[in-house]
Amino acid sequence: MTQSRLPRPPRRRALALAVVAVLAGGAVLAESGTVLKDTPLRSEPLASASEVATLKARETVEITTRKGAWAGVKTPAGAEGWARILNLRTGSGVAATASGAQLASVFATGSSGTTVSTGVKGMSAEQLMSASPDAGQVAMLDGYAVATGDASQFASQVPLSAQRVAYLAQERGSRRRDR
Amino acid sequence: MKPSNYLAGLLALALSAPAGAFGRLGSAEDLLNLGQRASKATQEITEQDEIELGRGIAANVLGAAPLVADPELQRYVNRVGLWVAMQSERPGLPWRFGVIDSTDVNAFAMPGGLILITAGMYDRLRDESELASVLGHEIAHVVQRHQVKAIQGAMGREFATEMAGEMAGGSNNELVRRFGDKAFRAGTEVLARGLDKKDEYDADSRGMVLAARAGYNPFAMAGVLQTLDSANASDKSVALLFSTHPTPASRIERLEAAVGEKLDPYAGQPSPGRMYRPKK
Repeated sequence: MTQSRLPRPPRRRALALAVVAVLAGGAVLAESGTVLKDTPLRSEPLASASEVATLKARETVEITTRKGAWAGVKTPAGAEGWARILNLRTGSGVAATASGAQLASVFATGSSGTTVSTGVKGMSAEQLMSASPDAGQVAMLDGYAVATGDASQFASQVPLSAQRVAYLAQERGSRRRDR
Repeated sequence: MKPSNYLAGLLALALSAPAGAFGRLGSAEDLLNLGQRASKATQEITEQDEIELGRGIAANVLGAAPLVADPELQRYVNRVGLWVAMQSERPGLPWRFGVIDSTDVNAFAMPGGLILITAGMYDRLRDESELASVLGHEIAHVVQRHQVKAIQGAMGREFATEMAGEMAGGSNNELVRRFGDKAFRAGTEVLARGLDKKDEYDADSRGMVLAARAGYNPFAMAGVLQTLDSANASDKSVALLFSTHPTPASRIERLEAAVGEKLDPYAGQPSPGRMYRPKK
């Protein structure tokens, strides 16, 4: 393989720098988000909080933080507030802030900056279908299983406590929508 | 025998085949008898059938990518996964969770409660609540028997005629082996080809509910889907996941429509700060 003599495009260089920054400092970089549908930008992560602005569908914003059902966002116009997290996507193909700086993609960098994978194995459909079964690996999987008491105890350390939550009605298709 | 009963018998036989195979072929005759019995009654895939089927499919997946050799990681994922699964309608299944050594980003659920997540996916999770969301989605597939239903469909379509011919000749042992292999292969193919899109949307919303039941912030699912959404569609590491699932953006939109503010009361729990990261 030969190295390209051309200078790297600036966007890629910026991304590389961002990756280095993450690895070096563990800093959390903002992500680029795109608004899926018109939604209020609120002053607090609460439905009852005052409305700072209205985010328009397809508007690009910066996602600075995540909290429960909300994402902290910054608009190109400089407005800051909270939007419902399920009204945002991140795959707009537009990955620039108002200032033009490249934002980090969690996908590209990984959240941890580390990897548990030692291999470079892919998992294509063909590779799945042509694999030879490995019963020894299934036995190993059995060996890692834990007892329910262990799982409960581990949960209680945090603590996580079990809640009663009903499944949601299926949207469209199987049932008529509630009015 | 009516064709439908006959097919049911074949299927019962196939799903009854023990995964570790065919080391105990002595039971082949029992299995064949069971298959014939089942064909006369209302067809039911038993829980034991599901478990054996799942183990056979898992052997194939693990043949493609083995478990990451990190017992602490594997135990951590089992503790989180089982806690979520215990909040489901099938807490008593022999649940197994594993991280497999692949840089691809994906997760697989096998019938009977075996769930595998790739290292590439694990690495991209922000915290334990996101892990609980991914596992919750896979647990929902198992609880709803999405894969079993897909396998039944595939077996019916592709193998009924062929198997009917083979049943006339050949030994029982041979028959059980071939049925087993075909069932496991059909199950692996379901993972390679994907489920019905509506099953994926369904598993997303049920996964959120399961995570909430386990005490996690259910909206961590949004973070996972946004991570997937930020992947370049031409990235090979997401090729299989993208070809077998609806787009991340449509999944986010469906969740917003289904969830609204209904799960807000459970959104307040901060993620446990103990996500296991391998030591370097």
